[in-house]
Amino acid sequence: MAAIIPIGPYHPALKEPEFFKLYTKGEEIVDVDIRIGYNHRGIEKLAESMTYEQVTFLVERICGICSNVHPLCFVQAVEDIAQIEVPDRARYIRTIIAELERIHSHLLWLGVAAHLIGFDTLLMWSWKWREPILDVFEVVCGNRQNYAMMAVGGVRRDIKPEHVPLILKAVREAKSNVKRAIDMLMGDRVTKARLQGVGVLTKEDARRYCTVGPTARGSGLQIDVRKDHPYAAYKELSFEVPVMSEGDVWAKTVVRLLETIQSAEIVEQAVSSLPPGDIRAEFKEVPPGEGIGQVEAPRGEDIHYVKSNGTNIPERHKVRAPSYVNIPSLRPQLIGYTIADAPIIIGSIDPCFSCTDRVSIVDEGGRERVLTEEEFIQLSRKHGTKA
Amino acid sequence: MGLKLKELAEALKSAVSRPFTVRYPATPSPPPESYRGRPEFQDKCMGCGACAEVCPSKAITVSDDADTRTIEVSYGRCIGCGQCASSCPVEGIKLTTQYTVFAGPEGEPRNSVKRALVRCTECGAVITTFDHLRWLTEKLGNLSFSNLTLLATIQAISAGVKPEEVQGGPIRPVCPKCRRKLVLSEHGWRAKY
Repeated sequence: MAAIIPIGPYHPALKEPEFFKLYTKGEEIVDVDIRIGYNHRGIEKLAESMTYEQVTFLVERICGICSNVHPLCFVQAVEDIAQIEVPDRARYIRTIIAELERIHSHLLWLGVAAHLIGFDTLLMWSWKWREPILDVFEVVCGNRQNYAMMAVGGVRRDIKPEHVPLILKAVREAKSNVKRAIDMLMGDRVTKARLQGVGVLTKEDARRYCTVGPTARGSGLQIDVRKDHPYAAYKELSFEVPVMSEGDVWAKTVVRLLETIQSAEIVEQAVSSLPPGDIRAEFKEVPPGEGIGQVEAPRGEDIHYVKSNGTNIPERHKVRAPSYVNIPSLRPQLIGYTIADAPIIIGSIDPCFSCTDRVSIVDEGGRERVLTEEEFIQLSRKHGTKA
Repeated sequence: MGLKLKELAEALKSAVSRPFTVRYPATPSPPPESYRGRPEFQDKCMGCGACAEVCPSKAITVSDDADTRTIEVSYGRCIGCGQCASSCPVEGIKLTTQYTVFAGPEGEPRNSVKRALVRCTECGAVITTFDHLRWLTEKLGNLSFSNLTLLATIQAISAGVKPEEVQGGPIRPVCPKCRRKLVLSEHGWRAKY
């Protein structure tokens, strides 16, 4: 008989509401039940009542950390419908903003992960290293978060010549700081003991659970939207995707840190080869049709699906945040490890619970029914909108 | 051992260096010029309501009473995107660099502007504000002679009165719906000249 330890839905160790039911035998976790849906905000439905321009700002609020990913993904979906050719300069600016965001997101994660294993000095340091990047955002975009840079057809603000030295300075600083963090972690036996061999996700499991982003790359899967389906200016920039094969928390940490250095180099390349020209393409209207936007968020692949009916309001807007596919993979990662390892294992996928929650079912009748995959498909075919 | 010495040096350096954080609000922390702070209405605002139309969070509202239009931005709802400022035709609303917003006993902090309203002399429907009509006549130039309301506005400006008080017979401010009716009945095929 396994003892049940509930983590969540509202738990001091979790920053966002999510429910993990740990079945334990002594210290060991033998099974996990994960329930999501505690932070449903009705964003998709709200998007169906706003114009395309307004939805860009709405989707920016899906995630508080990667607040550039969702608008970028959304505008790409709309540009896919309307076949808008984005100016070169706008594509490069999009890349710069996206990569700066990856740097600050990974540094934030490093701090959170360090905090979860009790390494609070690294938390303070990495969040300090993150500040110059946020200062750059404040100068270039006008805000530390929620940059409001994306617009259908381009970007809203230009990167001025006086911004370039600021960006380069911040990026170089971040790069040297991350290298220092890698040195520090490599030589620290305590951190290694907490991270190595903990929460192993095998390559087979990573593939079976359809994981994305650093979670998949830490398990040896070479997937990255920036390489596989290049968007913005990634086709013209040279970079490598770091992959580790161990699958443990340590591998995910190293993948993220190497990615941060890689992002810094991408920003340097993009800033130095910033083409001149317009930053926003004119477009008349969004014709009826469907479009998909794909973006490699700091946490993995983000997908937005937009269906247009020819008006200025989307008919259907679907968001699939990367954490949605990464969270189920916590089950194989948690089983077999101790309760003390659970926080860092959960933290290792960099979960973003609020981004994930799309549907919340409130059944007032108190009936509970679990649908099989077959029934679920039948149901969606029966009630789904006919194209 | 080498690492231990490195860590010791780092610790000593951190112990004597100044803290990274500032003691806000005792020490001011000014944002850069390009910061998107709270928006404020300017004197140039003509009350057209374009900002309310594009506002994603519906922070800007337009409310009309008998003869004034009030446009109000509620800072509690404002997300500071700057769509209002970029869609304003006359720089009537501008983003400041202020990021501190305090809610006082009078409720949510707001900023509002009032402009005189012009109503249809036929049905009483709201046409738009006087300042907006004036801006339209300036923009359109001679083209505004083709529109009854704008013609009345030009007369009102030169006579120094309200558009509703223009003594011009058929020339008076009317809403688009009534204008169509009027043009047909008074000047069109039913005209009794």
